Amino acid sequence: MKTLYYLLRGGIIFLALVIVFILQTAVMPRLSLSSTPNLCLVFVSMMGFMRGRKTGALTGLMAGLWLDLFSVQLFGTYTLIYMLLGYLNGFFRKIYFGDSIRLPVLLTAATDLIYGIIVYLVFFITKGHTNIYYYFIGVMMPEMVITVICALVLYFPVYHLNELLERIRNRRERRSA
Amino acid sequence: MNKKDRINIPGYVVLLFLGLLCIVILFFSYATGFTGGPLQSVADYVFAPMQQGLTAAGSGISHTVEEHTEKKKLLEQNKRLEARVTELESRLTNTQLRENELNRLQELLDLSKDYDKYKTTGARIIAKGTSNWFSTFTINKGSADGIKRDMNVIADNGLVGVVVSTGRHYANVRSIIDDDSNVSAQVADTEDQLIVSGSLEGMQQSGMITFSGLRDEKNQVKSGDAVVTSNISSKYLPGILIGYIGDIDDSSDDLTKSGTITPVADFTHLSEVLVITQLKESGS
Repeated sequence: MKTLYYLLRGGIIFLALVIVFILQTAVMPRLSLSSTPNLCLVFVSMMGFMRGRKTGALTGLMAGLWLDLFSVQLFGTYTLIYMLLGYLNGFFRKIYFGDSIRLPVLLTAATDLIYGIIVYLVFFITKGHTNIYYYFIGVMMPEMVITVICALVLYFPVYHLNELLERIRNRRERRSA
Repeated sequence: MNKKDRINIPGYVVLLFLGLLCIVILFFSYATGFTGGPLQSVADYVFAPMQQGLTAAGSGISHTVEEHTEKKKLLEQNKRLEARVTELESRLTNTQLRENELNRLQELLDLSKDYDKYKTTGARIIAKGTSNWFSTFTINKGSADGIKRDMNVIADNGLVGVVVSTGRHYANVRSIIDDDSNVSAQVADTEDQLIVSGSLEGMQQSGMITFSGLRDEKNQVKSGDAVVTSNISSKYLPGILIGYIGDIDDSSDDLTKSGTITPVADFTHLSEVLVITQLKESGS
């Protein structure tokens, strides 16, 4: 019974992630924005601070795997980065109460910035692109701004998704009690 | 809460386990060139069809938005262009005569361009890059349609990129403007070899990519010269147009020159591409 509930919750997160992933890779680039928002990262970050370190890490792993499938970098790079970021966001579950939007905004912004810095350090500085000022202003900041705007929109569906997951968990606990 | 029911695995154990898993995957893919294996079937049946549908819908939306904003501009442009068309048509007849002559002479010399003979297959872009840092995209044809790794991708008569990995019904393409991309090329007229490298910085600032390693002792290469793929390249078929030289910077060192190239393909409005279904025989 316990496993069934785990699978149910995992399945719901998986489905939500599919939608977010499709939005990011197929719909957003068509809107001709100057910078594509990193919706998968927003979702991973939200799962992290809403549901804790373990869920965050697992969601990050899943998101990273899909991104790796559709990217040309070494398979496993995104998996590692997203998994770590999901885990780190899990530390903030203790101060997340769901009534204020300040924490989600701050955390998604910080996560996206850290993601940008990691990508820069892993892929760009190793090739001798030492002009960090340019990459900070030209790539990281625009992505962060647009990602935070999208995070505000994405926050409410994910908030309700979290409530749903919470209800499923409570039901399991009532039954097993 | 029931004690038995609580999840007993501590967070850091999960982190350690998943971290190790990731590192194993990384090493494994580095050693074997693994690009997803069984996971690719998920991509085939879940993501690729949905992306395809949504991309069509998305492009529909963006088209209507664009139509509204650009209508005025287009009307104005139309007037100017019509005048230009008449001017160019007269020039065209002239050129056609010359081209006929050229073809005739080329046939005589048995020198007709290899470029036109490549067999291609059309493909639609269903997803664009997974991050702002890289310029890659996914097309809707894969190994089931005969697409293989290292096949060249072209659009607008210019080189777009190269297939890096394939699933059954999708393939990932790294474009030549990607920061990781390096193409061995040559200047069409003088046949001087050079390396064309993608550049995120250059593309964002001025829509140009960079070249380096041009040995041009006689200073023959000038701005505006066409650059095509080289016949000594290991992946790219020879003679595909890449772009035109912008600036040449010869101050860096005396031996080789570097500079910028404007690519022919329009990377911001790419939606359909052609895949050349012929692999370069590099003899390896």
